[in-house]
Amino acid sequence: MDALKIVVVGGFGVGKTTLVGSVSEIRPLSTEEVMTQASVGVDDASRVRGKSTTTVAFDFGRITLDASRVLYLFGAPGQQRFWFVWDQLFAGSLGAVVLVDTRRMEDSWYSIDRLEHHRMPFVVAVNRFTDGPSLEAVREALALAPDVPLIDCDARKRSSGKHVLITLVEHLTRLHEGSTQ
Amino acid sequence: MSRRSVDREDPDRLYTVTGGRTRADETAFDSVSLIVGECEPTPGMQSEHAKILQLARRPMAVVEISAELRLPVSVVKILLRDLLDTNRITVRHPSAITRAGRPDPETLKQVLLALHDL
Amino acid sequence: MSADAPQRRLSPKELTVLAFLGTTIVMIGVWLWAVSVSPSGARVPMALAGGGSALLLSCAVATIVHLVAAARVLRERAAQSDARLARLEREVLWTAEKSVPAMARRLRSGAPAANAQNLRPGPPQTAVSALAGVPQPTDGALRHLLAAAGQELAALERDRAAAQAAHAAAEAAHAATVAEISRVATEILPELVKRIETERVPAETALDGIRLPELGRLHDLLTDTARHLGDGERKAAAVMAACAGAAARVQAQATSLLARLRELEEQYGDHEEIFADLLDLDHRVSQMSRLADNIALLSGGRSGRRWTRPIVMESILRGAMGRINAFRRIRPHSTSTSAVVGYAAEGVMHALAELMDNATTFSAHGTEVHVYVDEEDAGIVITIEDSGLGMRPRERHHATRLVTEPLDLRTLSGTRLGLAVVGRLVDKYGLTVSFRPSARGGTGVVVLIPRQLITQPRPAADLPPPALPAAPENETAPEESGDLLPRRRRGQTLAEAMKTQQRPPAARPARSGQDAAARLAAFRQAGGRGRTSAPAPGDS
Repeated sequence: MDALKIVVVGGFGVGKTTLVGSVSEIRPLSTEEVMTQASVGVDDASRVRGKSTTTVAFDFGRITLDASRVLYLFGAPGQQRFWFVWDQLFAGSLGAVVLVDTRRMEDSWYSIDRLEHHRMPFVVAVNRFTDGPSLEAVREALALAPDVPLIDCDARKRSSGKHVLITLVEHLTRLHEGSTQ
Repeated sequence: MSRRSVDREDPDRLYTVTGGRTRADETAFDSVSLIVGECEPTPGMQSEHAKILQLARRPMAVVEISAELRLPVSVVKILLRDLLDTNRITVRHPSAITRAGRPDPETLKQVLLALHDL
Repeated sequence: MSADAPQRRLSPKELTVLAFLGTTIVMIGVWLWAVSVSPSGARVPMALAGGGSALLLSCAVATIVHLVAAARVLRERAAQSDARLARLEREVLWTAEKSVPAMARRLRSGAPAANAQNLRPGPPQTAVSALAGVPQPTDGALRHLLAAAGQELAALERDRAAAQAAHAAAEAAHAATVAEISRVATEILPELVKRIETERVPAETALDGIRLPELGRLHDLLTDTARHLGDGERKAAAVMAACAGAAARVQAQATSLLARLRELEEQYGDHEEIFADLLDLDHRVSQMSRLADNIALLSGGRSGRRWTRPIVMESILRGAMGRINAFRRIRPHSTSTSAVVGYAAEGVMHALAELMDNATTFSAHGTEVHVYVDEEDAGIVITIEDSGLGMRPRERHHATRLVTEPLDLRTLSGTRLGLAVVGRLVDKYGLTVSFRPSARGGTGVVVLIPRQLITQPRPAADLPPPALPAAPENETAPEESGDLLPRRRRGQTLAEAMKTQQRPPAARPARSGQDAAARLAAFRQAGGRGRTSAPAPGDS
């Protein structure tokens, strides 16, 4: 039995729990009680208008790929204050999905910096709440490298979540091909 | 913001769950190691051990067990250590698949296929 | 004597005149004869001498007669006086022996007019009627005397009767007082003490319904006593309440501290050093919490917490172990899947903790204390066996008394509260605790948790599921639709973050927009500081 891992990072209220939940075959287990700090999370979440839940932090999902492979999804708040789990979180990870809300772009800066720093492959998915700026504008604002995939998504939809993961794996495959050629 | 209602609290303090031990030998597992049970629980066994063996009938990650048991990862690791030392569980490491820092293309291909099939 | 009174007797004066006149007449005849017969010459002298002599003689006769008559009168008078004196004596005697006692008797026995209750009859009637009813002396003076004596006697009798009545009243009052005092001692006071001390009725109302003594002083004494008792009881109750109240605050603090520690343990579950320290702290707070529970229980308060669901035996044992210092030496042996009902779980754990603490305290450090759980018909039997020196029969007897008899605060020792606490819990939950020599050489404590406190645990499915994330619809309210996006500069956020991790967070200027700055402030308040002191390995 192989266990694979993909990390989904994103700020509070960006839709990361929803994304993990939409593709996971198990109820998204919040590991809140395991290794997070709810008090800070609540303070933060209360600053996001319209967000009523107090659930934050690490989401845990699972996709059984076949008889011998399980893909684990870890949803993590991409902020620097969670740095203490980053290493563990990314160890053995295939890659990462950075979920971005165009209204709070700066929330993703730390994650992207850090992923670039560790040379961890990642894709950026813009969770569309409204008609926001174009993908080109987002790419420019985030100063993304040209080869980093940037896509729109609707985290509520399983198909959209699936597409994000496929995009990441395709990106990984391309990177692999690129490195072997 | 009371996260735990009184009903969900236990009288067991964590140090009694671990028998006074505060650290596991960290080399055996990390948070996402996959645990596979090798036997069934027996009567008189510490309840957490029994629950882990029940959960690990199918492979399960350490954090998943930790969330199910509502116990901190390090406590779970200590309990897992007991089970590992008595050969009641085995461990698989996800990190094993990322040899040389790059995922194996064959694996990626299969993951892609599996994702398309979701 | 009085019979002679009508017979006229000549008085001495009359007899004297008669004698003088008779003698004078005789003498005149003799003188005349003598003068006539005497020579003429001798006649003149004879007449003169004879005349003179005759006058003298007459005077002498008159004088003699007078003296004789006077003497006779005197004799008669003396005789009369003697007779009268004798009669008076007789009458006095008679009065003294008859009249006065008779009158006194009549006075004392009461006049017919006097009624039975009133021992004091009307004075005038009594004196007069009593006097009238007794034979009167003939002598007026005596009669006066008797009357006066009667008056005096009557007055004396009145006084005596009054005194007697007063005495009787005093006797009655005394008897009543003695009876009241006896009633106060045997009925009222015990009842009062019971009401105030046992039933905790306020002093003001404790006296209601008790028939208080009529005697003012006694009444006051009782109300005073009630007040003092009430005051004492209030003071004692106030001290106990203050104690229990203070303990309750410590209990509440300890409980929230333990909950907070549990949160921190979960938060720092991956940080071994911190986690070990947190567990150590947790262990200390748990023991402190048990101490607070002890104080609370002994001062009439309650346990610090209450479980709302059944607690399985494993958790009961571990809950007890977690509260004692040497919990590592406890070896539980249990296959029981039963649970203790929620309301009794805390008490059972507390009692077991005290007994486990005793067992570890009174056995050698290196030795183990074994705890066996057996399900019996009567309930669950928990045996705690140590391999210490064991108890002498006298000690065992003392220990048994401590856990079976009602708590007596006066015999409480300041440092050895454990068994008294167990006794309190035994009483509260109907546990049974006995001591016997252990097969392991030390002491075996056998605790029976009665059947009615045993139940089956609720299935785990009862646990509420973790809160599910909010529906994303909630997140869709747009804040602004500005096209101007903030621009990331590669690596800058990470570089700043790494700088912060080496610096106190307060010193870091907020760079990444208002939202992030506010979030960072919230993070600092929430205790992020501790983490920044240890940079992540591999961060640099």
